[in-house]
Amino acid sequence: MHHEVTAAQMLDAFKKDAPGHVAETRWAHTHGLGVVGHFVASEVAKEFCIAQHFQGSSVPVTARFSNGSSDPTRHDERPDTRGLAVKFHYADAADHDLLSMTLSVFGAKTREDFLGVANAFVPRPVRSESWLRRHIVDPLMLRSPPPPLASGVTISGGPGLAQYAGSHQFARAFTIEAGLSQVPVSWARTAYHAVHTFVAVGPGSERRPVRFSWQPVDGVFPVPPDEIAAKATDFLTTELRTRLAQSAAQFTLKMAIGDPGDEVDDPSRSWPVTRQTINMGTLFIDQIAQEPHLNAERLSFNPMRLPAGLEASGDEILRARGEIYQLGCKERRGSGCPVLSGSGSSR
Amino acid sequence: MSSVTSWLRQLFERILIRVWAWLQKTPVAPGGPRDSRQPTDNVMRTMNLVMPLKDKTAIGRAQAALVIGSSLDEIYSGLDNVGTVHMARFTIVDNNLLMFSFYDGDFHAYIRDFIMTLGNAFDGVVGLIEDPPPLPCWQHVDAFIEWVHQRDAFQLPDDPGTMIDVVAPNLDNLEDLSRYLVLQLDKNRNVQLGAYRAYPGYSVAQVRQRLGVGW
Repeated sequence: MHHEVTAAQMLDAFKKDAPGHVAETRWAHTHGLGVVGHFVASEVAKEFCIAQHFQGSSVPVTARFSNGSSDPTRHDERPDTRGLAVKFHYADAADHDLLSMTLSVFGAKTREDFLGVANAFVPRPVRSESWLRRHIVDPLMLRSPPPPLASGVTISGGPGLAQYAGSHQFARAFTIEAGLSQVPVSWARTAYHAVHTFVAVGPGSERRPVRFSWQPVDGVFPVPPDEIAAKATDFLTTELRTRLAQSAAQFTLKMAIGDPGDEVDDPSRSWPVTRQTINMGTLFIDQIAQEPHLNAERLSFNPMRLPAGLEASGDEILRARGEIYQLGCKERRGSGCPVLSGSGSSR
Repeated sequence: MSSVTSWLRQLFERILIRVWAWLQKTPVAPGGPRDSRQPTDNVMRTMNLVMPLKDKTAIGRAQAALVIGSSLDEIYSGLDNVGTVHMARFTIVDNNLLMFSFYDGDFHAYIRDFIMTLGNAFDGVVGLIEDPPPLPCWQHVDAFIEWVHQRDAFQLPDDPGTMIDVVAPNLDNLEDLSRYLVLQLDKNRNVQLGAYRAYPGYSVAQVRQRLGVGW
């Protein structure tokens, strides 16, 4: 008899990947920075989706940039999967959250896959590669050296995940992209992908499978490898404060429309770049969120917090993440939106 | 690294690749876009035709420049009549005459229409190329299509998942991916690594119609 893996089981499995976790902090994307700004839809956005933030008027947003790591110590200077969670505040309805990360795919297609990936990713002591392997065996096998671990890293889930991905197709693209992660010069100079497929409802009730991504208006720019060592552990926060003191950081929201037959329910597969892509609007990050008015570290973001006009696809992982985030939020006593009382805080 | 060390290293790598090519058989991957039934995969497809010049001196390059230059009217008119070409350009790189294009629809139909509308001009071009197809091209259409297909560069998928499917379908250890890639690029020396589209998913007809410039 088949028993569906529960969100609690998935969260428990994920907790093993976060040794040293500090109570009442996030289990992943632990370190981040809250910001506020606004979103302005493009002229064509409303032709493709009836959701309120695509109708043209400026919509206030609260957002959080983050590092993907659950390491209790902050390490902006290490290669990592970065995150951008955006909460659109509607005037007369619950908020909408759009969660995205620098990888274009997720590492699992089903709840069972998620458990497998989480178990493989449990950090283990890093063994230094033998001289024989590094200088003789790997070159003879035409193997490129694995990405170097950042200095000071003594445990890592990376090698275990790479081994797992060898025999599990759904984890491969995710593992490769994660292994190629870089250090951006700014949270505002990297692209973010919402990974899952949603259903956008058009003004004529047309229903289109879509995937969203944020493209930085200033372009993508990683820190050159020889400059990483000089970066402080919180340089992304410092950089963003400096940047926003001068002008808003901007991102363009791209919406790719799936073709019939595309992998709608599988976030472990990306869509070809040939898909029709609509420019849905521009996100302006105006300033750093100021405590105590807004504490983004307590704020709850949830990929299933969807507005009228945007629906979840049949993606099992999207729904599971919705449940897991809700559990995690409850555990760390997170909140909905402290700016707009009563908006979307319960999910 | 000194030039001697670099030379020795490359010599060693060449030998190693030959050994692995013998141990791990890798077929030549077909050039051009992969078959797809997805509608938007069939617009703005790319062709990267690589044609080595027979004469690898400046005289050979000048001959190619003269032939292309004197046929521009014929080429532009022909591409207009094909009607499915977004962009095409001829470039000489390292004694290879390259024709790169974005086109809509089936490859065979594209080349067939192309050679029927500007076959005369292309006869002059391929006459300067190593191992030319039977001439006149427009009277040997199937042979010409096959000739182009063999010289159309292999297209490496944009995303890692599809790349593994294409290059390393039997992969069981991620560490070996680099070897699969090396051996594939040993078989396919010319390769497209990515193709940006400003308006993906739209045909020439749709673009011209929406721009209001007639179709």
